[in-house]
Amino acid sequence: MKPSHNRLLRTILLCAMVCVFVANGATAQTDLEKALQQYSAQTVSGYIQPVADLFGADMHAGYYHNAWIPKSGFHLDFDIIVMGSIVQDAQKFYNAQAPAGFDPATFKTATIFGGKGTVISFRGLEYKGSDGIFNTSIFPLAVPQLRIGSLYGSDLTFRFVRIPEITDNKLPAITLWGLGVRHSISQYFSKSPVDVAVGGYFNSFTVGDLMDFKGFAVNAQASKTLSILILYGGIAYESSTMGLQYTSTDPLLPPAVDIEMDGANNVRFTVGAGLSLGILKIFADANFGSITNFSGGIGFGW
Amino acid sequence: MKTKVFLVFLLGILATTGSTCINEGFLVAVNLPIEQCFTINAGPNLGFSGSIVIKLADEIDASYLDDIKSARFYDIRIRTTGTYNGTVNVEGKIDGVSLVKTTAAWPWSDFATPQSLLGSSTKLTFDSLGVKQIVTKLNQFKTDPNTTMTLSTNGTLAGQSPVPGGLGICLEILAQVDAEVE
Repeated sequence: MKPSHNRLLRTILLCAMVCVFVANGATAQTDLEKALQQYSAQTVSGYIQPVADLFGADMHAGYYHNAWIPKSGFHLDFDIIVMGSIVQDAQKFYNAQAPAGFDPATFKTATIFGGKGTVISFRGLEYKGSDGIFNTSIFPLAVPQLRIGSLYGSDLTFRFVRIPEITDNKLPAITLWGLGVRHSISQYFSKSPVDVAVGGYFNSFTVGDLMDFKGFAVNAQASKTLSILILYGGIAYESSTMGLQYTSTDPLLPPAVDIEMDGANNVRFTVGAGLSLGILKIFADANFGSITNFSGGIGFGW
Repeated sequence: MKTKVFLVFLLGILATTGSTCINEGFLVAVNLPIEQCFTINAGPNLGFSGSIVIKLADEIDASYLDDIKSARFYDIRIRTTGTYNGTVNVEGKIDGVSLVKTTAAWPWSDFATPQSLLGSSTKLTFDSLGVKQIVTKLNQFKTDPNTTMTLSTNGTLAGQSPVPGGLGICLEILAQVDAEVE
């Protein structure tokens, strides 16, 4: 790519990361930590669980937009994928534990995606939940990916982004990488009306020492090429886990917090369409499961 | 050129989402526990008293101090530590103003589980002047990080003498501040 395109790509990636983890463009990690540090290991999970759910769904999106894999020969595709998970209303609230003595013992308040924290009142005494941090209807991510094939009808897909630590702005190092392998099934059936492949993927995403996400997915994918139009879809089983590590500043709570939360999405149905314009590919798809996710992008294939 | 236009389009979507996705000036509810446990000396003396000055800023992380928007308290509690086979009668004060008293001499063990305002304890009575003083100090803390509170207790034990070692009585004011994160 041209240098100007490289700069744009870097900016796009940074914007996505910023939206996810950076408040006011530069100090988000600090702000996020400040918001989280008041929670114990037992109470933080409700507040931040939607991040595990939405990011987990983002991580596994956009891995394929065509199930056709040549049996052999050198093939290289470079894609820029943008994906976003829809923030549902139910993910903006959770049931938090009220201090001992309040009645009722739990109250509905904002998650990290909610608005104002709820104030509860009992016998003239008040207690408040923290406000949400993110005000967004979609939780985005952007990644570049490289696909290399083919050998025995198989190819490999790589994703990698690293944004170095920016000390002045307190933005921690962010690293995302993913690896996938696919194998063509339709190559064994010469009369197959559609291209069919199966794939397996692993993803990792870390934000400094605060958060790390890991996930895997296996899928069956199919596509049909109609001139320049490619229709594709698939079904996947996936699993993702978010790890959270920080030191609570609340003197009433145990200081060390080190927990893992599972993402909500386990089964994903994908439908999508793309255009193949020579070396240029444009594609978009919708993904349905516990989390609704959309992805799209542009690719260059040789 | 097409590629560049598309990248700019994607950038626009993400930049728009990214620039508006943070709630401006969101508030973090920060627990502010103001508590002190006073040790009761072992020996023949059944009376006890103690006092301490607490700087509120020391009770929360320093990063929250710059933008405290509001403060509230949600409970006042008294609890005991250690084992004593007798009764206790105690008064807790804030800045010299009576805040909480026992309604009678109650068994020491009754306070092993905290007795509290929130729990409507029948063993305690709360003084509105002391409660007002808490509110005054919490309001002061919003603008003055050097705000202090003086917590004190005095009281008497009965039923077992000499007083064994390892006894303590704790006065706790559980509060919250809303710190703005800009």
